[in-house]
This record gives sequence, structure tokens and C-alpha cells, in this order.
Amino acid sequence: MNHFRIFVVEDDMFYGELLKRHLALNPDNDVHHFANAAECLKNMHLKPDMISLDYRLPDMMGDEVMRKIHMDYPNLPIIIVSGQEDVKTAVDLLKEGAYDYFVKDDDTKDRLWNIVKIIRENTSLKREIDTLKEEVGKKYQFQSIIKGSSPAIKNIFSLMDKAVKTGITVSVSGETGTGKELVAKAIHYNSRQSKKPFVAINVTAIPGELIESELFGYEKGAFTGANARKIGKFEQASGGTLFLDEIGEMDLNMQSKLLRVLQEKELTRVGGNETIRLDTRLIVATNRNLTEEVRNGSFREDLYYRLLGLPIELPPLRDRGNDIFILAKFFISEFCKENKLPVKEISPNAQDKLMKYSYPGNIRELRAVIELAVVLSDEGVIDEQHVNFNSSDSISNFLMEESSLADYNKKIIKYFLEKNNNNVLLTAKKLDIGKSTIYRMMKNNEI
Amino acid sequence: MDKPYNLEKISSYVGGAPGQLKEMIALFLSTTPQELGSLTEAIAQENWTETYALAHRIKPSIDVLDVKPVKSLIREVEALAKSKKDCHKIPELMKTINEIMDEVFRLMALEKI
Repeated sequence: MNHFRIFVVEDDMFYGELLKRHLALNPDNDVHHFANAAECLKNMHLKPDMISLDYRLPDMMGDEVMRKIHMDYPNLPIIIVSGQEDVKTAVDLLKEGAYDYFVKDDDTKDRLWNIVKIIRENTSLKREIDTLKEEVGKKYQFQSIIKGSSPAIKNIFSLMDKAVKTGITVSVSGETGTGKELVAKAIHYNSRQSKKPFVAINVTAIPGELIESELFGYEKGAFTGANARKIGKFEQASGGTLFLDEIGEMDLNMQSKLLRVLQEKELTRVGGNETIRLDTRLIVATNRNLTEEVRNGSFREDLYYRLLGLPIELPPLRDRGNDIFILAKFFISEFCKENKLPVKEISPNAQDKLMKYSYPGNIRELRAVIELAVVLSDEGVIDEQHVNFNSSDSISNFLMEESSLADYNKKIIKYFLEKNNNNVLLTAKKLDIGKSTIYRMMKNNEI
Repeated sequence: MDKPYNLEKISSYVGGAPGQLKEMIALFLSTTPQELGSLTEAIAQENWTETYALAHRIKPSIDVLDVKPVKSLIREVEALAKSKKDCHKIPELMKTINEIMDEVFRLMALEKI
């Protein structure tokens, strides 16, 4: 473990030295004693992890020293250890950001020891969180998260790049499975807010009557079952990003409440009076056409413009050309790695089949198709028969083949004959064609 | 006769290490008489703000050594100087403090650790 650096600022040489030696009993603590504020401030470049500060120093009062330190190191824990038994002073110092305050007495030694222990644990956890956040950030680098090199996706990268440079609201649209939440996360983890929370909420996943309390929080007793104060998603995401998915599904009443919060940049928890300032970046997503919704009157126009910000429209997978193959290879590699399998190849026929499909479920569907194909293929190659599409959108897939009308007719008749156990009369009746047409096609080996 | 102070607390601060205890006694003997001298001087000058600040500063060291009679006397000096009322009582209190502390210094210098 790293050394934990502690400054003891105490003008009584004997008492200061005593505290220093006591804290130094833990060999992991690197303790420095300074007899006045000036010495402490001069040595701040040593980057202490915490400071034990006497309130009354010969050259400055503790509150002033604390303010000066917190200007450059706002999160540095400062413990005021004082001979001052004045409750008001203690309360004021705590309000101003002191981590703790205690009076020099018989318990000082143990209290200081315990508080150092707590701060050490918190610091260690904080470092761990920072490291994890950094790793998450790397994970969400644009090129790591969004695979592809099509012009459509390059345009998305360019827009995302613009989004990370400011705190502008971003509205992401696109069909289901195009990766709207991933885009939101990538923007967050590459932005200035990356060290702060990313909070996602799907509007459709929350019952209408609960959405307000979910977003804005509530106070104890606000409604039946509100047994304690709850912080809402907006507050949870303070300083970071709130991702509101499926915003188009929000009802009009809630839309007006959201609009007011966004306009005022402040909220009040349900059942509360306290006004809470907001410093949260908003990213919204929808698979609906919001312009259409505004025209229909099911989405507020003023909210629409408030949320529009920087619009990013994710292309459907079928419009991304060769990206399908790039993504397929990526999913194969990922799935094989997770399941400790040798990485499999895709045969040309399977590639062809993959490229021709329309993917109504987009990337999410492609991933499922690929994972199944890896499982079904026994050898090191994924072949045509391993690629199975289960999409309900069979008509669009059928049309994707781009055949002639005559060929489509043949396929339809053949399909229904098979379905009807080659019963010509039943098939002719169902398709409303003459039975002779079917017989003629059979005779000509067309079906 | 019992000593007017107790080294147990200091010892517990330094984890019972005799070497460190010895060093702390030496530090106390080299710094505290000077502090008391400054306090006596401030009282003689009737500088009550300085008197309050010095009494306030010395208080924790007196506490940690558990010099029982001085613990309450130094608090009285601190409170009177802070309130600036009945300050005429302070010189007499300081005289008693110095007498007791002289004895403390004498006995501490003889400590065999």
C-alpha cells in the first residue's frame, strides 16, 4: 500500500510532536508536523492525504487555513483538532467543509487514530474507484465500443467527438438495437464528466405514477410507503450524465414537469420544499420519430426543442454495409474468448447470408445470430446452415433477396404448397389463383 | 510523595516505547518552560489577548501530562483572559502555576526511563 501522508498543524511543539509520533505508530503513515499555517501551506506540494489542523494558530485561524487549502484541494479531508469548546465554531467549521471537529481531550489520541483509519480506507476505495473508472473509460473509447468503418458510422464518430467537448444535451435516435445506450456511455466516459456518475433510466421500465419520484426523488412521508428520503436519478447523476432512454414514451403530464426542471435547472423532491440545483448533463434516446410525435400532439414541442440539443441518428445495421461483417467477426471473437473456444472463421456462403439479411433487431440481433452460429458450428468454420434468422420481419427479409416478380411468385407458391402438404387445390384456393397455374409450373419444373 | 504528573498518557501516545518517551520528556522540558515564561510575561504586560492565546496553547500539554492542579488553574487563566474580567486575579493564579510547574520540571528531569 502507498504511504498515507498526514500533516499535523499544531503550534504547541510538544503536543504537535506527540500527535505526530502517535500517528506514526502505523508505519504506513508518513506524518509531518508544522507549527504554523505558513509552513503547512508552503508544503502543500507534498500532497497530504489528510490534515489535522489546530483551530487557533499563531499566524492564521483554522477556518482561514482550511479555506485556502480547499481552494486548491477541495476534497482533502481536514480534521480540526481544537482547544475551543464552542459548539457554534464547530458547526460553522463543519459547514465550511471540515471533515470532522474535535476538542483536545483525553479521547483525542483514539479519535484521531480512528478517523485516520476511516479516511485511509475511504482514500483507498476512492483510488480503486478512480482506477476502475479509468478502465471503464478505456472500455468506452469510441473505437472500442462502436465497431465499424462505414461512412455512416464515421459520421457518428464525428458527432460524438463534438458532443464530448461540451455539456450540450444530446438526443440519440435510431431503431431498436442500434446501440443508443452505448453511444450515450461513450459520450459520458470521454467527456469532462467522466469521473462523475453515469445514470441510465428507461422511461418505459418505470410505471407512469412512479416516474416523477424516480427522477426527482422524494421526501420521507411524501406518499404511502415513502419511509425514508430517496434521492432521484437527477441528483444521483449530479455532475455527471443522466441518460433518459425511450423519452418518446413519457406521458404529457410528466413531460411538462421535466420541461420545468430543465428550464429552471433545479428540482424539488416529491413532498419536499428544498430546491436542489442541477448540474447534470442530459442524453436522451428514442426509437420514435419525435417530430412526428410533436405533430400528433403526443410530445410537447417546447420540450422537444429543449431536448434536441445535438441530434445523433444511429443508422440501422442494414445501411452499414461491410460493418455487418466487422461486427460479426468482433462478436465471434468476444463470444469465443468468453467461452474459452478457439476463434472461428466465417465461410463465404455464411458471409453472403449475413450480408443479405435486413436485421430488424439491428446489432442486438446480429450478436444473437452470431452467438448461436458459433454454438451450432462444430468445426472451426461457421457455415451457411449455422446462420439462422428468427426475425418476425420475414417479409422484409424476403424482399431483401431482390428477385424478379416471377421468381417471387414461384417462391410463394412453393412455400404454400409445402405448407399445405402439396395439396394443389387448397393452395390454389388460398392464393386465389387457378390450379392450372400451379400444375403448369410443376410441369415446367419451376416449383 | 506522589508526583504531580503522570507519564502514562504520553507513554500510550508513543506506543510505550521508552526511547520515544525519553525524547518526549526532553522536548517537554525544553519547550514548556519557555512557553510558561512567555505567558508570565504577557500577564505582566497585561496583554490579555496574548495571555488567552498562550494559556489556550499550553492547556493540551498540561492535560496530557495530567498535572492535576494546573489543569484547572490554566483553564481559569484562559477564561479570565478571554472575558477580560477580573484579570487582577490572573497574576496570583500564574504564580501558583509556575510554582507547581517548577516542581514538575525538576522531577521530570530526574526521571529514569
